[in-house]
Amino acid sequence: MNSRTGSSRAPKRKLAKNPARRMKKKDQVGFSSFLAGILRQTGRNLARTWTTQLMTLLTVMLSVLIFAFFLLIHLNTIAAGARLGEELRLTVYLAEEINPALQPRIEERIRQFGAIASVRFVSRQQSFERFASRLGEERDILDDLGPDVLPPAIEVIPQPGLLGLGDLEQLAAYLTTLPDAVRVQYGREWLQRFNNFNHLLRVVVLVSATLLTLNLIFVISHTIRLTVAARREELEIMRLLGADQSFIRTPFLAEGLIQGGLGSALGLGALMILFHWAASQFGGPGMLGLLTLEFLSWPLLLLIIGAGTFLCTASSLVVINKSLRI
Amino acid sequence: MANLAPPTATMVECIKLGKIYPPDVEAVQEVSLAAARGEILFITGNSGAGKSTLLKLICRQEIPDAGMVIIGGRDIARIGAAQLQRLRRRIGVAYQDFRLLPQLSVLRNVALAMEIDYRPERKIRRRVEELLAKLDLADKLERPVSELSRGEQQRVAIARAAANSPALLLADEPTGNLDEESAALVLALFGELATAGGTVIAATHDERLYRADGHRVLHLERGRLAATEGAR
Repeated sequence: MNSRTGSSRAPKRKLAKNPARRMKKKDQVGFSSFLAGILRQTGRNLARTWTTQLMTLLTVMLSVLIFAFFLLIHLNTIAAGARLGEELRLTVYLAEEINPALQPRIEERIRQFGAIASVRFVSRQQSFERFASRLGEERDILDDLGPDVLPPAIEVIPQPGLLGLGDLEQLAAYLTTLPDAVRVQYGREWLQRFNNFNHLLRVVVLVSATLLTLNLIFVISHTIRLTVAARREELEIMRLLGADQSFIRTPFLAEGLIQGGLGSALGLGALMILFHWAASQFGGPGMLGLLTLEFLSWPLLLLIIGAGTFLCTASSLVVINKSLRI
Repeated sequence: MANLAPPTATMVECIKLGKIYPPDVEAVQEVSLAAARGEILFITGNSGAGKSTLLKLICRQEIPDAGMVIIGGRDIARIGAAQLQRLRRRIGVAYQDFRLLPQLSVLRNVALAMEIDYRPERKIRRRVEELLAKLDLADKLERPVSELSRGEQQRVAIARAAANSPALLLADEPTGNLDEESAALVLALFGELATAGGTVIAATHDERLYRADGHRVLHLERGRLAATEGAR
C-alpha cells in the first residue's frame, strides 16, 4: 500500500522538481487547442474587418460569375455544335448513276478517308420520290417531270468527331475525286460562321479567365494587405508575446480560403439562378432543338470552386510572406 | 523555454552585458547579474540609467552588443526563431508603455497571452478572472482598455504578463501609475509567482516596492551596476 502510494507520488514530485519537463509539457499543444485558437482568431479578424471582407467577397463572387457565364455559353455552343454535327451530311452529286455492282468499291474508297459513319447511295428515282414527299400536297407540280430531272447522289455522314471545318473541307475535296462526282454540298458558309463564333467565344472565355484571375489576385492581395496594415500594432504585440508563425499567419490564410471558397460558391449559385431563369425563357423546342441549354456539370463546378479557393489562398500566402516577416 | 531550462537554481544570468545605441550612447555597460528561481529582483536607478534596456536585452527585444544572456541554462542569442517564440511565451513582460490594444476589452487583452499559447477558452476565462480579481479589476472584465485609467491599464498589463504563470516575469516600472493599495496588490502577485517557482525582475523607482520584504536590489548608474542591496 505504502509502496504504491510512494510510487504514485514519485512522478508528481519529479515533475514538479524538474522545470524542464514541466515546461516541455506546457509547450505541447494539442491539435484541438491549436484549431480552436486559430478559428477563434480568424472569427475575430473577420468580425473586426467585416466591411472590407464583404466587399472582397462580392468581388470574388462577381468575378467567378462573369467567368462562369462565358464558360457556360461556350460549353452550350459546343454542345449545340455537336448536336448539329450529328445531323451533318455531305452530299456528292453525280453525273451518272453508279452501277450497283460498283457501289461497294466506291463505299470502300470513301471509307478509306476515315471517320465515316455511313455512306448511302441515292438513285435519281429515290431523289425524285424524296423531293415529291417533301412537296406534300403540291407534288402534282412534278407530274410533267420525270426522275431524270434530279441528279443521283451519295450521302456521306461523317462521325461526330469530324467536326472541324478543315476536316470537312478535306473530306469534301476527297469526295470530288470520286468517279462522276460533279460537286459536293455541305453548308460550308454556315459552318464557317458557326466555327468563327465558337472561336470568338473560346477567346472571350480565355481572356475573361485571365483578367478575372488577375483581378482576384489583386483584390485578395489588397484586402490582406489592408488587414495587415490595420492590425500592425496588434501583430507586433503578438510577436512580443511569443506568437508563433501559425498563430499569426493561419488566420490570414483562412480569410483567403473562405473568401475564395465562399465567393466562388456564391458566384456559381447566382449563375445557376440566372441560368434557370434564362432556360425557362429561351430554351425548348422553339429553337430547332439546338438551344437545349445545360448547366455546368458538378465536376466542373467543383473545379471552379477549387480553383477560386486555391487562387485566393495562394494570393494570401504570397502577401503574408511579404508583409509578415517575423 | 520548455527545453531551455535544466533543473538549476539560476533562472537568468547576464554576463558582461553591453548595449550601445547609435551614435554612441552606452545604455548598458558590462552588467553581470544572476537571478534564481523563486527570486524577486529589483533593478533601480535614475531615468536613463539603463533599466529598461537591461530588461529588453533579457527578453531579446534588443540584441546586446557585448556579453550574453543565459536563461534556463541557454544563451538566448543562439536560439532559433521558433525557440525564441517559445521563450517569449514563457516570459511575461509588463511594458512601461503597457503595449495594450485599446479597442479590445480587458478580458481579450489579458487572454491574448494565453490564446497565443493555445490554452483552452474555459481555462483562459478562469485564469483571467482570477488575475483581475487579485488586481482589483474584476468589474472591468468587459470594458475596453481605452476607457480605463492609466493605473488600471498598468494593472491589465501586469495581469497579461502573469497570465501564463511565466517562469520569468519582467516588469518595467510596474507601479509607476499606481497608488499604495494597488502597488501592494501587484507586489502580492509577484510574491505568488515567486512562491510558485517563478523569477520576477522589476525595474523601478518605487522605494515602497523594493524596500518591502528585503528583496535583492541592484542599482544601475549610467548603464553600469553600481551597488547591490539585500542577500541573494
